[in-house]
Amino acid sequence: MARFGKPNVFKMYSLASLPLVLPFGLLLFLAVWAVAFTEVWNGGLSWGFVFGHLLDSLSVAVTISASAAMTALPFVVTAASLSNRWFRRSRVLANVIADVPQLLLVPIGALVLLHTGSGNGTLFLLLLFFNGSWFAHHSLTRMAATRHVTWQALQGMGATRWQIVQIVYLRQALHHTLDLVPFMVSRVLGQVLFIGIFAPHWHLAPASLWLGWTAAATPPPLSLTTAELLVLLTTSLILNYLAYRLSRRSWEVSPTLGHFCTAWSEYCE
Amino acid sequence: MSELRCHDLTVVQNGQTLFSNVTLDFPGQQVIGLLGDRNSGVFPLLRALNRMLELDGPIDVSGQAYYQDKEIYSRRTKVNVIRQMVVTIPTNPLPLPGSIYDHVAAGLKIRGWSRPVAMAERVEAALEAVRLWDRLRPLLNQPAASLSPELMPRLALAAALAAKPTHILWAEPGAGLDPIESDLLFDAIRRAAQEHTLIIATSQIQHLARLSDITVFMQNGEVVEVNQTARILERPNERATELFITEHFA
Repeated sequence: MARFGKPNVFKMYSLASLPLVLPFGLLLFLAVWAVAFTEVWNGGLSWGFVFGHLLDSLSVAVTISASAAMTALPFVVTAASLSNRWFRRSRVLANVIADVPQLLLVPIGALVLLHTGSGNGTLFLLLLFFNGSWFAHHSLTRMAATRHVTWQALQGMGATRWQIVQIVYLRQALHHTLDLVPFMVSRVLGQVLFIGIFAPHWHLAPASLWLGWTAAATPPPLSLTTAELLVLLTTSLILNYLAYRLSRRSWEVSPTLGHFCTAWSEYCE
Repeated sequence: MSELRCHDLTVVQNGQTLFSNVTLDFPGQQVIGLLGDRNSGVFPLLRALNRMLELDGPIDVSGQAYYQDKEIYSRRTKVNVIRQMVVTIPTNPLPLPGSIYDHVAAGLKIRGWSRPVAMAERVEAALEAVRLWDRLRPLLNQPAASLSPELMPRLALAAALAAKPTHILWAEPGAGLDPIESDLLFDAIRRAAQEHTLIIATSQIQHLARLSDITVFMQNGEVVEVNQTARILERPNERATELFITEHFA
C-alpha cells in the first residue's frame, strides 16, 4: 500500500540548512584551493592554518551577527507595539534597507570612511546597520502574518499595548533572534570575506587567508587569482541568498522541523 | 438599571452611518441576541459596546453608552479597563502564541495575575466550565496551535471565562462548526450565562433560537423590535421582524 503525505525530514532539514552549509562549504573549498594552488605560501596545504582562519572568520561573523540582532531587537519590539499603519511603515523601512545589495557595502563604507576616517568603526557600524535591518525585516515579516488577529484578540480582552508586547512580541522577537542569527552568521561571513578582499586596510581575518596580508605591509594589487576568488565569493553571496529563499519554503511546509535552531519555535509561531 | 446600556447611540464611520439612535439595556445573566443581516448594524453595535469598533478606523459617536454608570465614550475612560470587563471573543478565534495553558491564562495575565497556583485554579475552572478540562489536562503544555480548530471557540470561551468579565461579546458563535461541536459550544454558552451576560450578534435564527433569552432585531442600522426570543420567533410585533424570520427560515 502506498503511503502519501509522510514528511521527508531529510529533504526539509537539508533545505533549511542550505544557507548555513553552502557558504561554509564554499569557504572551505576556497581555503583549500587557495592554500593548495595559489602559491601564496610555499608550504602548500596546511589544515591547521586553514581551520584557524576559518575559526577567526567565524568568530568575527558571530560577533557581528549577535550584535546586529541585539541592536535590531528594540526596533522590532517597538515596531510590533505600534499601530497597524506604523507597523507597516516600519516593515517597509526595514525591507528597503535590508534589500540594499551586499555589493554596495564596500562603496558605501568607503564613502563613510572618507568622512569619518575610522576604518573599523565604520565597518562595524555598516555591518550592524545592514544586518540588523535584515534581521528586523524577517522578524517583522513573520510577525505580520498573525499580528492583526492576535492583536485584536488580546485587545478584545482588555490588554494594553505594552501587555500585548510582553505576552506575544517579546517572546516572538527572542525566538526570531535564536532562529535567524545562525542564518545571519553565514550572511555576515560572506560580507566579511567580500570586504576583506576589497578593503584590506580594514584587516579582517579572512583577508589574510587569501592574499597573505598578515605579513604584507601594504596590500598587493588585485591579481588574476584574486579576481577568480572574487567571482567565487560573489557566487557564494548569490548562493547564500538563493539558499535562504529556498529554505523559507521548508519553513513554510514544516515550521517545527524547519526551525531546527530553537526549541521554542512551536510555541512562538 | 443594567450594568451595560446605551442611550440614543449613533455611530458613523467613513461617512456611513453604521447604526443610529440605539437605546438598549443589556440585563445581567442572560444571553442577549442581536439579530440582523450584514447591513443591519448588529455587528458594529456589538463592537461598539467595548470600543473595539474604533480599531477599524476613526468613528464619530453621538449619544451615550454606559458601563456601570461610567460613560464608555468619554476621553477620560480607560478603554482597556472597559474591555477587561466587557470582553470580545473573535468570530474565528485563533490560538495565541504559547501553550494551551498560556492561551487560557492570557486574560489573567492581562489583569496582572502572577501567582501560578491561583492562575492554575482559574484555568482549570474555566476549562471545566466549557467541558474541556478532562480532554486538555494532559495537553496543557502543548502549543495552542496544535489544537483542532473545532475546539478553538470553546478554548476562547474558557479564556474569557477565566478572567471573570461581566459581559462577553461574540459575533456569530459557532460559525463553521460541525453540529456536535456547536452543541457543545452552545451548552457551554448557556452555562456561562448563569454568571455572565453574553451578547451575541448573529444572522442565523437557528443559533439565536438555541442560545438567546432576549432578542434585539435590527434593520438598516435601527432597532426594530426587542422582546423575549420565543415571542419574537413565534409572534413578532413588527411586520419587518416577521418578514425577516420567515425569509430566513424559508
